[in-house]
Parts: sequence; structure tokens; C-alpha cells
Amino acid sequence: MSPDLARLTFPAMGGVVDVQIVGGSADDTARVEALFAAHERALSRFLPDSELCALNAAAGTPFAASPLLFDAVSEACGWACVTRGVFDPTVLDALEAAGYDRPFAEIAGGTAVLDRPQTQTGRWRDIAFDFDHDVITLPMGARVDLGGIGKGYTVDRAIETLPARTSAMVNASGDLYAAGDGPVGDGWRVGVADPLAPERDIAVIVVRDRGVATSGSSKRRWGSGDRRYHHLIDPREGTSSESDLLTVTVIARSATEADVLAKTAFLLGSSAGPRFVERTAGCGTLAVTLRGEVLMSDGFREYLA
Amino acid sequence: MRLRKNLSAKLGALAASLLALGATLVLVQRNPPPAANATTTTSAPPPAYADGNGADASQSYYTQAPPVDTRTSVS
Repeated sequence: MSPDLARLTFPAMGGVVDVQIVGGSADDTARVEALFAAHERALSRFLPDSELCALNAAAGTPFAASPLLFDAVSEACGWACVTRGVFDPTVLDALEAAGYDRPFAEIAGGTAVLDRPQTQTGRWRDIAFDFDHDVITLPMGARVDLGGIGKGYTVDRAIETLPARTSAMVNASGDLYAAGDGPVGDGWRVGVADPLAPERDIAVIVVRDRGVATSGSSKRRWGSGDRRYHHLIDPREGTSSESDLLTVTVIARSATEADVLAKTAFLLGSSAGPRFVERTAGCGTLAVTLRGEVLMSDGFREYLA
Repeated sequence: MRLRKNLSAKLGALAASLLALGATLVLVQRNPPPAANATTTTSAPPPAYADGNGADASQSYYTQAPPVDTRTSVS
């Protein structure tokens, strides 16, 4: 007989978080919920009192950060290096110029878009870290947005709050980590929603100790006429990416890695994106193009149910 | 947590410094080297479940989708 499954679903970070812990308790799930709340309070750009907003307001001067903010920002910059700047945590000006200047639920009815935004990306290269004293110094005028990494990062930290070798799954609106052998011992079965018919799955995978994330332009988009905008900014262009992909799902070794690589693959497009991800051992991609074609990498195929 | 934080911070700071110096950053070795044959991308969907030819997402649905514990989609 399988051990009981402790499960809790709660709203956080603009979506819904689902926590499942095999043999867990209500205290375990409550601890995960509290961690999400703490991370959102500290790392959200939409909460004026967040520590992230305080950091951005202090650009140009040293900022004494909490261990959480210091870790999150340095992690984001580390991934910017890994992806050679395709993942860029300093695209907030471009994101706001494209119209994403408030929570998405508030801009669905319309938002102002700058025709010729004068924004600068790639400024993560000039962020200074004093890791002996948790001090971050942003270059003058630069601002950090952790929206591209926050869910995956928090999922990974949530898993770390559980005892070692716990079989558990934390899913933050599609960015998830599945630890251990799952509820019946044969792995965690994860459905990949079809972006053209989200109530159906385009693939089902079985994962153990893996992160999975999906990024794309099929949901958070706005605008009309000839130009549509979405939340995935191409730092090379300074505005919403014109990728030939609709969505990318990545399996990786952590939720953070999956989150970042899914965005990177999306921005790189169908020819280079999946190949970039496949360079990383244990990773795979399932991409859907704007034309509806399905591109599945060999690495992804290994996880099919 | 502290050790992880320091490693993460060092990674970010070191790489940023390298770029500031104009160094050519091929790929930060945070991850193991890629497998030699791990770059193939195909256009075939999961054949065990797809009906039709599977090349079109709108037509490659499962005839009977396996049960799942959770789902991933664009957030």
C-alpha cells in the first residue's frame, strides 16, 4: 500500500501552486506555502514594498541585500552567463516599454506600448556582487526583474525544505520539480499541455529528480493589428521576441535550469534553441512552432511514458 | 544554504568579471560537457500515443491519454 499523499494547492506568484508530498504532512505543505509567500514578498517587481523594488530604487549605490535576494540575483546573473546573455534579468525597461508594466491580469484589456523604446539590455554584466557581505551594486539606471526565474528558483528552494529522499512534486503554474519515485513508485507522470488545445496533453513524460518548465508566447500576450507583444523579451532586439516557436518545454536537472533553458530555447528559435539545450546532459526539449509543428529532441524522448 | 549561496554568487561575479575583461566566454562549465550525440532534433511526436502523422500539434492528440500526476503549460 502506498503511503498517503499530502497535497495542497494555493495561489502564489500570479498563478497556482500545487504541492504533493508522498508520506508528507500538513506541516510540510504549509512550510512550502509559507516559503512561496516569503519569496513573493521579497522578489516581486509588482509589490512596491518588495526588497527587489528597493534594490532597483538604489541602483548606482551599494545595497545590503538579504541572503534570499542576494542568492536569487546572483543566480539569475549566473544563468545569464551560461546562456551568453540570451537569458537576461535586466530587461525590465524593455518589458515595461512593451506594455508589461503591471500584473498581467490588469493589462489584458489593453496597455500602452512604446513604438520605439529606448532601452538598454545586457546590464547584468555590470552588476557587482560582494558575496562576503551580501551587497549588490546595480549600475546606474539598471533594474532587475526576476520574473524569468522566480518560479523555478522558488520551486527548487521549496524542495530543499523537505527531508532528503522525500518523494515530492512542487508545480508553480507549470514550472515544477519532481523528486523521488512518485506516488506509486514508478516516477512522476507529467502531462505537457498542447498550446493549441491546453485541456489536452501533447506528451506525457515520467520523471524522477528532474525539473520541467514550459515557456512561450501563447498566454501572456497583448496588442493588436500587425504587432503582437508578449512577455518574453529578446535582449538582442529589446522587445518581444519574434521567435518562430510558440512554446518550449524543457526537462532539466532543476526547476530553475528548466525555467531558464525553456526561455532561452524559445528566444533562440527552432533551429538553435533545442540544440543549445541538448548540450546540457540530462536535458531535453519539446517545442511547438507557430505553424503547429512538434519538435522533440532525443533527450526528451527518453522520458516519454 | 550558505555554501550554495556563496557558490552561486561566485559564479555570477566571476563570469561577470570575465565578460567585463572582454574574455571570450564559450560556456561556463556549470554543467557537464555535452554528450557527443545529444543534439539531434526530430519533428516526430510520441508515436506510442499520437494518432495521425503527428507532425502537427493540432492533430497529434492521444487516442487515450495516460493518467498524469501533474501538468506543465505556459504560465
